[in-house]
Amino acid sequence: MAPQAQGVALYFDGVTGTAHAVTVTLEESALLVTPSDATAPARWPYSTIERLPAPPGRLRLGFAYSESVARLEVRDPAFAGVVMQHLGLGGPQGLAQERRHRRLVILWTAGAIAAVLTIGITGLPTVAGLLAPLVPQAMEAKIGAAAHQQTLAQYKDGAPVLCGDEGERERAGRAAFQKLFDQLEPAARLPIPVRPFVVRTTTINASAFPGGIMHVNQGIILLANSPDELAGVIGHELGHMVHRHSLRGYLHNLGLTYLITLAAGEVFTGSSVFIAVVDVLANRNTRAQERQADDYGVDLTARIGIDSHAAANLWERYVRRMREKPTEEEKAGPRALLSNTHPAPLERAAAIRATPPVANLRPLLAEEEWQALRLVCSRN
Amino acid sequence: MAAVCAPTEALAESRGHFYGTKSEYRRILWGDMIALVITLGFYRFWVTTNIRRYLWSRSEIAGEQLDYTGEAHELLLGFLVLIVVLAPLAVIFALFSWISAEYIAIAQIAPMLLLYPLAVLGFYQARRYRLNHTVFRGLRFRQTGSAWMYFLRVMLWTVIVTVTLGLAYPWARGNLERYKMRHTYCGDIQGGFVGSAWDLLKRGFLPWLAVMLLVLATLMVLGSADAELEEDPNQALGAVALVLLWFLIMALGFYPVFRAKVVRWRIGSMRFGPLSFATNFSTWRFYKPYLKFYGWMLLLGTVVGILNAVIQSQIIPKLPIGESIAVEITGIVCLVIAYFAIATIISFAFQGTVRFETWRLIVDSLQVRGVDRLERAQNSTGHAAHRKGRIGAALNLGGF
Repeated sequence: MAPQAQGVALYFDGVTGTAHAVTVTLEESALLVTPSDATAPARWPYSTIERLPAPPGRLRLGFAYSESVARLEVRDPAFAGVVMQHLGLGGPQGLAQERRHRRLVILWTAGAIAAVLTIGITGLPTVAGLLAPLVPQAMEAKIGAAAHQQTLAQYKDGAPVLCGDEGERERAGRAAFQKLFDQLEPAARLPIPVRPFVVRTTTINASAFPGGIMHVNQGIILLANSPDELAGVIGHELGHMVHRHSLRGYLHNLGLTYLITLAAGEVFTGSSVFIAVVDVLANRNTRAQERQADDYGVDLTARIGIDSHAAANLWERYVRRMREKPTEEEKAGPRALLSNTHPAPLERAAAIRATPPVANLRPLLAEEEWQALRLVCSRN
Repeated sequence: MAAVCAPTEALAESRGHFYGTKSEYRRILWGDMIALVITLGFYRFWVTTNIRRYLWSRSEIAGEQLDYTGEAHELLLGFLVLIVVLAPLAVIFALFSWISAEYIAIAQIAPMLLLYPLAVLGFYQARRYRLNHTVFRGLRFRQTGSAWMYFLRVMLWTVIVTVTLGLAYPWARGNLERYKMRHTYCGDIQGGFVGSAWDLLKRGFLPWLAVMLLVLATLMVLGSADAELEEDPNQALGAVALVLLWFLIMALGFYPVFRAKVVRWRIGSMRFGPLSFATNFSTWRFYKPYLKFYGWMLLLGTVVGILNAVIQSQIIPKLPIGESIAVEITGIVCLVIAYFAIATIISFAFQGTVRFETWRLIVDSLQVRGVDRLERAQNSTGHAAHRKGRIGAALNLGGF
């Protein structure tokens, strides 16, 4: 045996804290550790040995894949080199392994991110659609009532928020509104009765809440030029209700927040950058919902025999109005496409006009009734 | 007869020595830093493990280094378990906020209230994981005790320390350290803590008094300016911001002094049977890495501020916003990467300054008495439970 095949080392047997001075002999398939005291020799098969991190110039060995904490340390650089050669261990090799390891983690993470995004884009809307029918009506009604109250609270500044109850004119307007609404609702054949409210705000909007609550804002009533245009808006909102978009949107949003923030390890402290990602994915979903509701609105108005293209006039007028009198937000600059919860109004108008028009039109309201409806928020 | 070899012979009194170098440490950090940004933070479990392996292995106490035997995938697994446990809670809070407007407040506050116990429990469990994965001279460390008991003590002491404006801190710290050390073992040798709260109080009383006087003076200045401020809400807001900034500067300025005093006291009071420790590093040398870290943070803040201003004023107006989805997706991706890049830089600036330099200072100045007694120590058998604590460890709480 070559003289270098033997050297001294420091040895801890992993049982006691005693430091043993040992002689290490390199055998065919194992290291033979022979303590200079009376302790029994130990044999370390090469295949079980792992190099451990140590200060430069020292070779520290332990057992891989084992609970044993026995340690062998060679402090003589020349002998350490021989042992390393024998074990097939080298500095550069260890480094290369570390790099391979790192690349593997990066690849897996890239895969995980792709998976999370795919689930967020295609999987979650499907899951939300499957879960929505399982939510009890009572619970949906409760969620809707809470959201309804919250929305009204935003407009509260001392004045009553709902229109149709203050004075003769409002009551007459409300009656006309109800007449129009009652001609549309039965066509939707919803399993629950819808409760429509006219909200005293100039914000041009209407919304459908879970549990059959509908808001039609004063702003959108004043923008409409005919009962058919307003019917188009209501038909769109009924479409949201038929598809239970609101509840599905809640479920989708919950799933997204859950998925993204948890995957990122931010359980309760979602940072804004993840909220931005959640918003982008959520908006993608609501834009699809809006198109679906538009389709439904066109279909419903066509079925009851009124102008199903009227809603398109409304959107085109909306765009002209915004160009003349932009809101504060619009003055600040163009909105990012990804931040839009709705498709662009002109795109929606074009989609509506692309559907076949209705031939025999019938009036929903008499002219006086329509004029009365427009005064539903006039307060006397 | 145990024949004792040269490095541990006659080591009734011995010292610590740190073999690590800044350049080696930086090399590890650089490689990990890029991986951390690309994986959106997911690589952090490997970073933690790499850093610990390095610091442990380069720390020699009485001629023998420490070994860190933890594995990154164990931390990852702990993290996944944590998600499974916490995920239902997140859903319940979200449901609360939908069902009724009144519950929204609960849904917003409850997670905050939950974070505190989670942090304390996580800290104790993380310490358990670190100790259970530390080996010295072929002896395993381990931690027993209950994280919940520790949490109850922390809750109680938090109240007392708050009520006494911090004067009870030495007693709180002593009590908690005693709990931790009595449940810490090196092999079969039980740890202990003999620190005197009066001693810590004596060391820390003057800085405490200085802080209290400064806070009092600030409040008095604010009180005298009260009448003027009430008339102008803008000025009042400015004053509040100024006071908060001043408090932040005070906290940052005093914290290293406070920590240096506590660390010296803790190390000097630690026992493992007959084994005792001491350290005599100077507060100034402990303070310097903090100053470097603050400097890096100021630099980072300035650079990010300038970059942000340039992007907002020069680049964003030229982008076709509202026209191209591709541009916007690129923007979001850039935002996410920038977020992780900044978080990574902050974390690594801390690792490279405070973590590395205070660790080196402590190890280099360590005096150990009675290490030879470890010769008789034995590993306790049936020590299979060393994987405990990895869930807490995944939270990565507590530096040492």
